[in-house]
Amino acid sequence: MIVYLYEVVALACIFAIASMSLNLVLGRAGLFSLAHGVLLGIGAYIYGLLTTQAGVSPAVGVVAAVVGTAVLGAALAAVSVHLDEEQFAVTTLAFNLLVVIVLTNWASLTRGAYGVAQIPRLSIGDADPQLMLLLAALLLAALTFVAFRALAKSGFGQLLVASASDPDMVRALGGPVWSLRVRAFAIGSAGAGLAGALFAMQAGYIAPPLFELHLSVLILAMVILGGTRSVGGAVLGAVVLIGIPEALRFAAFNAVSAGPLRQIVFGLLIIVTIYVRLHSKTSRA
Amino acid sequence: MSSAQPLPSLSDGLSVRGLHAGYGRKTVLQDVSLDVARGEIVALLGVNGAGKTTFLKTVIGLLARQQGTIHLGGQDIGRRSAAENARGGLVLVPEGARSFHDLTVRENLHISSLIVRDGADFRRRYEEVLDCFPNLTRRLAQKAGVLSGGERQMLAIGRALILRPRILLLDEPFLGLAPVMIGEVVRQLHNLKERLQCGILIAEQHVPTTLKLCDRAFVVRDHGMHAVGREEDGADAESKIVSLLLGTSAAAH
Amino acid sequence: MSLLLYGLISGCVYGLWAASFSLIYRATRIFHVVHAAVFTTAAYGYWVASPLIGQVAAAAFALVLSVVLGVGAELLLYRPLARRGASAVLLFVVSLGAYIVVENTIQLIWGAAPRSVPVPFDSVLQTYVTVLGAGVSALELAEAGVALALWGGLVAFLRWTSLGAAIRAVTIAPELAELSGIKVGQIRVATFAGGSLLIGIAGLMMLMKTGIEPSSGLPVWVVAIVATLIGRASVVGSFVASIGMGLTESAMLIWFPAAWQPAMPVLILLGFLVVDAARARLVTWQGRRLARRNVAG
Repeated sequence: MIVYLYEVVALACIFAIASMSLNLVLGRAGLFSLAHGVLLGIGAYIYGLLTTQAGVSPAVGVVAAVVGTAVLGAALAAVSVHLDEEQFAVTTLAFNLLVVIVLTNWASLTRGAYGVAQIPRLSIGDADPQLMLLLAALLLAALTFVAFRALAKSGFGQLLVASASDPDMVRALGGPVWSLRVRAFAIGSAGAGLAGALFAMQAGYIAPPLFELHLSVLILAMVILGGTRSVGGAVLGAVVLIGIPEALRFAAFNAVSAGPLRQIVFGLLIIVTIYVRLHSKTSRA
Repeated sequence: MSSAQPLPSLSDGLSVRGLHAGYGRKTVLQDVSLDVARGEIVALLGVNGAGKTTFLKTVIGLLARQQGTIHLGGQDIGRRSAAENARGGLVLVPEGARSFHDLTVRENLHISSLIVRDGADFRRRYEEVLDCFPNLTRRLAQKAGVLSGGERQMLAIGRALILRPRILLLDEPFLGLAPVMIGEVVRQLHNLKERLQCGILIAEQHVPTTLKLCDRAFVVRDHGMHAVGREEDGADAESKIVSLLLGTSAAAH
Repeated sequence: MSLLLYGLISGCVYGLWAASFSLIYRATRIFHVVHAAVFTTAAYGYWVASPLIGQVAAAAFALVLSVVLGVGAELLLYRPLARRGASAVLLFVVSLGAYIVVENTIQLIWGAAPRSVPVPFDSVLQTYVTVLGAGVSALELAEAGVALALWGGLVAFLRWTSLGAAIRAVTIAPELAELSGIKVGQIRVATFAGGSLLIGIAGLMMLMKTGIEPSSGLPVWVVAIVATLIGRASVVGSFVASIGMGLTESAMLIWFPAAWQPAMPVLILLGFLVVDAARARLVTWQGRRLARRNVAG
């Protein structure tokens, strides 16, 4: 029972990191990304493949996952941040689908539909590996919180908000809107990569279906539920949306088939989340 | 303002009482009342952002009213949608002389035939509009997007006329028009008032032109509406209105 | 040669997908992902009902189901949320959520396995014919023909009927249409009904040709939206884009194994965006150069 609790709390921390990083992308930069789940998946695959296939140590694997995901995220952002809001959303959705197809079909690199198994965890001495992972996840989530809070309040964060609300005005003042957005998206992707590496450790086994569109939508719902303007809200959203299905005791998340019933609950939670957010907004206004 | 005429009957006109209007919980206009009878032209003057457009949008049904009553011809229309009002004889021509730019001029006018079910009746109204605005006749097959500003305003008014309005609401009809075009639109509005006996409410910033055209005027300022008396004709009225618009001390009396 | 023919045939089918989506998208500007669920729902409706009530009645039932689901999404999801001030992307996410619910409900009830039905009129449709030196099944040709006819019908409907004119008016300027007395809410419902009907037919077509599974809808939706975006949301433009996509996909089969086929629309979209971005950059760059020259001169 206590191990199960460790797992759930670790998972909540991992998704808190993911949703805080999406909070920068969506809440500050105003970029409506539907690729965050698959960026997390890319981080998980980089970590999983390097540690199991290339014999890289877990610590190096985490760093590689963060850097690698940030670079891929920057590349995606470079061709898409000039689009309008909806086109950007569709493009990131398309990227999500594309990566899942690549993960499934490029079997010589990714082991295809078989997935990557026996992914090692960070370990120090004889400590309980699940407890270690929990502590690592807690620590990293706390660090991420501090870092993203600072980033949101920095001049960079303010410029991002300004260029989300009126890009032409920022351009007129000489602000590099395109590069601001690309940088924000790259930083957000780095956060997703970190969450992905931790997720791979927690799950021990990863396969393409885990990172299909529903994961991106889930992380998006966490950010929206917590309120797009607050980093703490993103943490809250992650805790609630991981906690509710766990509390309802649906299938454990590290099962390969996430289970249709669990998915239905996620879908309904997304709809209800947005409904509730809008409701509270209109009644406050 | 034009000189004394018999006061037209209010019974089949527009009557707004105690209206509060705004966006969400923010109130832009507080407790305003206004009547427009058939056969008269009423002006609604105010600077940018005073609430003229908010007023028109609320009356027509694009914005939900916060409080107050709106009647047309004695019927409560406060809950009607803009489409229902357009069918019922209360028509708004929005600012900026907007048209369906990808449709031809003919198609723009035919849009209203979806509402006017009687084909022969529609045909007659269509001919009438082309009589009023002969410029449009030459442009029938062209896309509305290529028309000049004045022509687009005529098309916008023409499209409204096919709906045979009892009361016509115009939002800044002179905005961005060349002076010669303003004269043309003014002439047509007089014509409409006489021929169709329709009541016209014009929201404008262009004070001199609008004052010459209208029978009565209101000034929108500080969330409220201030009537300008009929007795104060000519230069007196104009100076009173200007001081009301700008909020100088003369507004006190 | 045969690849060209296959490309044209799938292009026509893609065109139907795109037309059905762009009809709704143009009038409402909603990224209506539930459309993908309508596609699968129609097919499953037919698959479940046809052994019970016969093919014709089952087809009618499936299409009614499509319309109900599409119109239901507008009336129960989009309209109330839009009234509360939901932005376009929020409606998009809600639509995704609803899609996930429908897809997984289907999977929960009938499982993830692919389902298929016997081909109707099999004496005719299961024969092979030779066109342009290539052998294709009569069923595929018939489906391409039906898709083309439905698309032509839609174009004519928009062009020459008064409801079509009203839809075009709402597409161009919804508020102005409302002020002209057009009941915009009803027109939107009409586009959802029409688009859902068309995608429902497409769902039945795929069920008969290759079979269907709960997740079949999303790739269809992706093709439709890519064609719609590339075709600048016009019903004609998106059809042309669809034909182009069908041909490109055929050409890709020369170099890539068929398992990569779902990547095609995504790659086309990303390629299109890169080219578009490059063009925009080029224009700014030329503008700057021109400006510099003018300042210098």
